[in-house]
Amino acid sequence: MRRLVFAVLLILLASLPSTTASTARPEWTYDVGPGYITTSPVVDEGRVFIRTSGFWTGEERPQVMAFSHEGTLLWEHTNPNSTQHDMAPLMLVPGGEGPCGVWSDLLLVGWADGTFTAHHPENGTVAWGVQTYVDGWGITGRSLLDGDHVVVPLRNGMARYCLADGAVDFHVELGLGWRNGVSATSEGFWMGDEQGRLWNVNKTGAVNHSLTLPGSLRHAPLVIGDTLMMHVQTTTASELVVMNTSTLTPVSLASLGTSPAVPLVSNGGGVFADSLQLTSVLCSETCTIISSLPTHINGEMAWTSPSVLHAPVNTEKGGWMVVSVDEQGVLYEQPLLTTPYDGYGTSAPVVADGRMFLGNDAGVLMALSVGTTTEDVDDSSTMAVFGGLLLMTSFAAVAVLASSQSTVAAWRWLSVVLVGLALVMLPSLSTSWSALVTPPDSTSQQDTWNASWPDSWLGTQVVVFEFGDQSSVVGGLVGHQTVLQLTEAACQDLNLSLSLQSTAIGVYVETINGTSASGWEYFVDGERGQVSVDTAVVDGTSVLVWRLA
Amino acid sequence: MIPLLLTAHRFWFGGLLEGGKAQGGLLLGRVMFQAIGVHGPELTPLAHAAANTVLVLGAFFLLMAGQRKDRFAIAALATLVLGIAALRVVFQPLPNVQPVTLAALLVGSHLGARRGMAFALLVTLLSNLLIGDGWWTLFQGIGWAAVAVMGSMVVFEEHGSLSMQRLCGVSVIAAFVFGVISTLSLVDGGTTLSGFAHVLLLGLPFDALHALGNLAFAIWLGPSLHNFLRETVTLDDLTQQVGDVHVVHG
Repeated sequence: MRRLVFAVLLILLASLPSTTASTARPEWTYDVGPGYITTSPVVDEGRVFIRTSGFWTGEERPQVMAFSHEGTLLWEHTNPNSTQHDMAPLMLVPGGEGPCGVWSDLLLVGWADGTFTAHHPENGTVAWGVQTYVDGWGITGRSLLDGDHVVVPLRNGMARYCLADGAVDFHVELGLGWRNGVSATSEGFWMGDEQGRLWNVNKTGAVNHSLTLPGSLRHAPLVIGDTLMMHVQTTTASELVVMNTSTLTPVSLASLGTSPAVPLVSNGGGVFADSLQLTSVLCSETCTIISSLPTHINGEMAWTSPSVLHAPVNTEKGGWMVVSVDEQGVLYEQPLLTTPYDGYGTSAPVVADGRMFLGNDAGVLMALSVGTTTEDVDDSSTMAVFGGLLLMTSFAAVAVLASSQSTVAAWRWLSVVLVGLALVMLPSLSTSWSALVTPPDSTSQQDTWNASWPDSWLGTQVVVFEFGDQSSVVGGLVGHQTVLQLTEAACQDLNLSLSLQSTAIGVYVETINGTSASGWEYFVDGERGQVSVDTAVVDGTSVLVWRLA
Repeated sequence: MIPLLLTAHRFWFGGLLEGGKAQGGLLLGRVMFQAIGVHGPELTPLAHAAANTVLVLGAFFLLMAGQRKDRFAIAALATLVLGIAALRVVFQPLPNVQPVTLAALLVGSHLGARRGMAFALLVTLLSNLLIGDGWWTLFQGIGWAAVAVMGSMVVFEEHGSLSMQRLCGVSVIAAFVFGVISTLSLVDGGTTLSGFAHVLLLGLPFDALHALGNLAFAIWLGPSLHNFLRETVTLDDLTQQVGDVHVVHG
């Protein structure tokens, strides 16, 4: 019997090293509080700037923060009025002068409450600010620097402001947009909207062209020579669209997955991503798809070296996908960059001063030493080492008991150790098991679409609350990643109260507009929810239905 | 269509049940099912009281129906009910680590199916009053009663001492039997056979943990519980014999 115990112990001990994960150890971290980091940090020679984002319902509000490269918090600025997701990337502008005036270094921030503010990077004070149109949300897209001006994608159009004082150069009303950035060519500025229009505005603010796209455009069009490339969100998937700026005829290159990421310009082409894959496209006379890799990326991507890109994997496990791209546009997947704070994420990392700065929905800014981020990854986290040591000590104690004729005691302690180990492993084991035995969800918005809903809701998130005989519906929601976020946004739009209960295993919706009855159940695209609302993920086109149990 | 991951009472008995209200849920952080009432019908206070009364009466009649009504056995059973119910409450934060299963097996084996079933019902009722009561209590009670019946059909003693191998083996099987029966609480009019099978499949890791916990309890508590129950039976027999003698001499 003792030999059996020894054999079991030896086998288990031998299997220990293989259970550790490859995780990069941050040089420093900073927990930004309740918000997410959904857009890339920006850096200058001595500072790193981030913004926090979220759907804010309590006292907390989004902030812009500045840190030294060594991790010291230098200043923070809070916007008390912004409550929707702040998805507009930060922009650093070096000081300069132009026909409209002189300006010092500026940090430009577009807010979901429609304000656009220019901050002094050294202390965060506001140099100037303007208020723009709000319809649910305000500014959510990437602005464009244009000489001594900045061109800002507004909720309902485009405006150009002088960098010196924020004076309006032009303001033009276009379609309603979200996360829709601005690009420029010799023909002027280009921007898409949620209704599937691509707008071309000249330098004086007049609309040159308005073209039809197959869906919503939620990024700044990529400019490759005289070709625009756009990854368009359609009702059920996405389309990769190319358009020559002289022929002005959008051509669909490929149908891809849902929730397109913000694409990257590559050498002679672009890199696109969505909930299914990363796709490389090269353009010469025509554009061709060169390579693709399966993944799930819905946010920003960034070149961290001339041939290597990093992109946050927007799944529960998360991490940052590392891909090298050769001159022919072929993608080569490198080992995933993982951190102690992996999870859902849409924010690209940035490299400066020998460090990589990155964050995700966990709301922790991390600085990784560039030399250790991909090659010299630390093979174990502190917890894993501690757990491993504890386990080895326990097994050693059991072995000692067994060898000293205390076989009963050895079995007893072995059983305790095994039960403890099983309890620790159970959450991930059950989740993996559930994923293994549950057939994949094949439903889409088309399957759950109600013909009475307005077409403008197509390609957006829709929420239905069924109160017995009556129901409340709201659509046109965008950018919400979890059932909880989407529900909170819908309740706010419909002016419904929401009562939540936070439990050890997740957030639980108790009442909606005071109604609880026998409880609420949710369905995403027709599938009954299986996980807590704060962990259940929704797509950019999900239909969420709340129904009384 | 039956919800897929919703057998909280099977996966984490009572751990998610607060104030007598069923919080639909699964386990530890990542997986929580958003629904109240997925465990079956939510009972009105009257129906609740009626269901509990039925269970108590069931336990009472099971105890009284036997021919041997010795006070030693009754007292021992009452002590065990209190002790195991308390132990269950103590272990409640650990999902599916259940002392009741092993106890039901041994009580069934030593005191017979009737008393074993009564024990199972009483422990379930008593402990669920503390950690959460509802529709699932009925199925948990029946599940552990079935385990007690299993125990009554197995002789755990071999050559005058407890056979640990047999006890461990049966306690592992009992975990899965209990899992199947307690999952029946989720069956409603719309449940298909394949849907039910899927729920059973999803619960396998939890049943495996239940089995592992049973092994640990068998190793730690099995011999003591076995000796306690054996002495109870011996005392019971002695009392019965003394009573018989009195009757003969009287």
